[in-house]
Amino acid sequence: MGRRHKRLKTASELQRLMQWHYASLRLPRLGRPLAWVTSGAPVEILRAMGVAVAYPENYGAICGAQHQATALCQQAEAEGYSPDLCSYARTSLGAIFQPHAAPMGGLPKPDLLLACNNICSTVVKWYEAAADSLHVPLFVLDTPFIHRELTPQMSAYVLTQLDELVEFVERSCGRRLSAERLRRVARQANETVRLWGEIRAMCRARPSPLNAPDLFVNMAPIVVLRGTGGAVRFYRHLHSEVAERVRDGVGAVSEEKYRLLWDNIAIWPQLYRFYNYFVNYGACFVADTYTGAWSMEIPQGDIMKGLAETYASVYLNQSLEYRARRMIDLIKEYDVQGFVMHSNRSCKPYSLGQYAIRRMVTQETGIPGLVVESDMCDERAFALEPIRTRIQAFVETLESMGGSHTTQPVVEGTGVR
Amino acid sequence: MACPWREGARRTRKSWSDYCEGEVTVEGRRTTGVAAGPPPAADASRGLWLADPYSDWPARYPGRRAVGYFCSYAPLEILHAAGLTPLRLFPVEGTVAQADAVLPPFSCALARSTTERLLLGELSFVEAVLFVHTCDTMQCLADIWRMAGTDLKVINFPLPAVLSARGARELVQAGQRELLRALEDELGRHVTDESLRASVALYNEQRRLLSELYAWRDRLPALRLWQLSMAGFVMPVEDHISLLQQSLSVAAGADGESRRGPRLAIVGTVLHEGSILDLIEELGGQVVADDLCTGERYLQSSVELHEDGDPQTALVERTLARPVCPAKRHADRDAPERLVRLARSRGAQGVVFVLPRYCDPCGFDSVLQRRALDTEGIPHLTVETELTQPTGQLRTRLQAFLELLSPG
Ligand code: SF4
Ligand code: SF4
Ligand code: SF4
Repeated sequence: MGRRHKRLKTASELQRLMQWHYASLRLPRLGRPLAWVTSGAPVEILRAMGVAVAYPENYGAICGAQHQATALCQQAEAEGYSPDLCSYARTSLGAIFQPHAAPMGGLPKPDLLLACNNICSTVVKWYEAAADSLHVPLFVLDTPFIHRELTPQMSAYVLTQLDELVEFVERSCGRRLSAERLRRVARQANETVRLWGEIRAMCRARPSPLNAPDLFVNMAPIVVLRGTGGAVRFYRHLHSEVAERVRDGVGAVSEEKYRLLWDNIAIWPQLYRFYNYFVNYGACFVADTYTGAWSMEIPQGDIMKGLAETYASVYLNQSLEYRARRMIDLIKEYDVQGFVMHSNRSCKPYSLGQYAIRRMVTQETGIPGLVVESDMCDERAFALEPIRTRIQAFVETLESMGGSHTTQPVVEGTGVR
Repeated sequence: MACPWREGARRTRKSWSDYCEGEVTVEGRRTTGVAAGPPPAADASRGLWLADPYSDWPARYPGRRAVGYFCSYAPLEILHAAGLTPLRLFPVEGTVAQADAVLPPFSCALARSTTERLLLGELSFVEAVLFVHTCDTMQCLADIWRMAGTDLKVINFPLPAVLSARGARELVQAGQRELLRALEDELGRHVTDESLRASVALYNEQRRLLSELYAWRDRLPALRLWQLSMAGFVMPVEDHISLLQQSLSVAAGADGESRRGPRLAIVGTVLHEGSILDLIEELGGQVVADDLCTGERYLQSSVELHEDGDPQTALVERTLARPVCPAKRHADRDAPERLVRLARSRGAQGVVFVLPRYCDPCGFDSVLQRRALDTEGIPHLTVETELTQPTGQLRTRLQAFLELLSPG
């Protein structure tokens, strides 16, 4: 008897959508410029200016999931980049240095780069390195970190730079911003965000219709195609499938026994294997802090001002206390019994404060948290045995804290891959 | 697959403090003489006590109220004008057992060692700590310290990541205003225009004297110069100024040595380990320039305050104009180009990077810098440090590097 991870019917649609996205980047763009952007950049502005966009972070995640990232990281290391640097950055730089060794031949060469440091400071350095190799102009949008609150001065600063960004795009590729188009893109972005938010909220149901790997895989369009009609259509379909699961009482994990919360970026190369260790114990990740990082609607009214405030306030640009409070809320809303934090050696802004967060969350909720050390892409940092042992011990803790019946873990042979 | 992280630097028990003693008195410790250079100045009596500046700081400076800071972008003048004594937090020798429980192993030595001091209660005399926004590590550390459950007040200073950004000036201005408010509200300290002017003048004087001393690099051992700079970050600026004055008069009397041997530039962030400088000289090299936050980056550019000028504006201008740190960006000031210019202008024949492990800003910048040096045909060597560095290996590598640079 093996507990199984249930596959979504929309999975093939998702695959087609993403394939189409990557293929479209290679089609003649008829003079449309291409920008590489960070996951937290205000892409709405670029779309409204008719700029096509590619996401190196998403590309990195794909390379990770396909077990290609480590080799690309090594290419970057051969060029002098330390193995201690973010593996998205190393993967992307490795693909720039050796495109023929990279999946899909690497990302097509951009005309400009846009990095927004609302997720980390690493992207600034990474994009500087990319700009240097690719010989294309770079714009860095600086969003001051919110240790306490977003002050009017901070929003004003971001807003000023948004104007500067528009001028930068006008200057570097002769595109104009159409206010009408910006409104339409923002509307579509909001629609995507709303649908995705609702999909995630449906995981409050028991059993949860989705598990972490579903969330990780299905978040791709919200990042990469936010503000497009394609993303809206896809999330409508996913929305109805998930609603159907809830209506029929179908869980992502058969015999859901424990409801968990995930913190940090996925372990892409281990997407199914790692999470299946939990599935085997009947543990389902019903919520996470990562795929919700894109759930921010642009307020109505002055769109540029709305964009400034929205992008300055993303999850990773806010204090550790804020994040702890968000986790505490999620734990209550989703009826969670334990949380797992991926101490991701690639991502310092996400990982350095996890012990402080764990302490605060456990203090307030009384539920246990497990910290697992690994990396989102670099497989050299994934040590199977210790992780397995720790998961087992963690589940035993959960069990002792309120488990009703004994769980018989089925450890081997249940992989869905 | 071989794990690149397990082969990293091994830990020894030596740290920068081991090399700071020189002719300086540190009670109960072995005193190692610094080879060559001027005779010990009267500063010996003051004691540079760099071994551990923190544990006996309150006893050393009774009545002084310390405010901690990490980064050379901190507006020391404002802190000083508030009647506080800025005290820079550096890594010090020792284990980091407490810190290991709150920080993952991939945090830099600066973060881990200072957190250890905090958790051991060794900073309880410090009134507040100022965190300037720089890298991801510092950004997290500011919150971790605030959440650590100590009495220490944490003050944040929002420095733009892009110093050339439109609006950067206003953000720094707002940051300074917020800092003044925090000093007032949380510490009950008021800064007057007059006191700020006086503090600006003091720090300008300190930087000027330091620059003079740096201009005499050939008259004093590199380690000595490093000690004199480091001391300034952990002692009151008034005391540092007299220390510098004494050292300058000693240096003025000393003969300018006609040094030979390969000329090197040192590049990094905070150089918390001075031993490498000594080693370079011992092996026949000489240090002629640096791009360090505890060295030339700190002392370059002063606050241009004219008689009727506004001291706050003058401080903002210096922040935007000073040498750019690896954690910052300036669209027209590019780190590789600057390094090449530095090396060329000082006639440096080689560059030694001393980089803290797990330091992302340095990790990225140094690649482009090395590439630029390669293009220019300037050889370079990279030394990665944790809390400490493996000395034996370092010696061999430096020796080989210096041989490469030596003619014949
Ligand atoms: S993984 Fe972390 S460090 Fe890397 S780009 Fe993303 S947010 Fe930045
Ligand atoms: S290297 Fe940058 S962050 Fe570090 S002390 Fe210097 S200015 Fe501050
Ligand atoms: S700039 Fe580097 S050494 Fe300094 S705190 Fe950040 S990571 Fe550590």
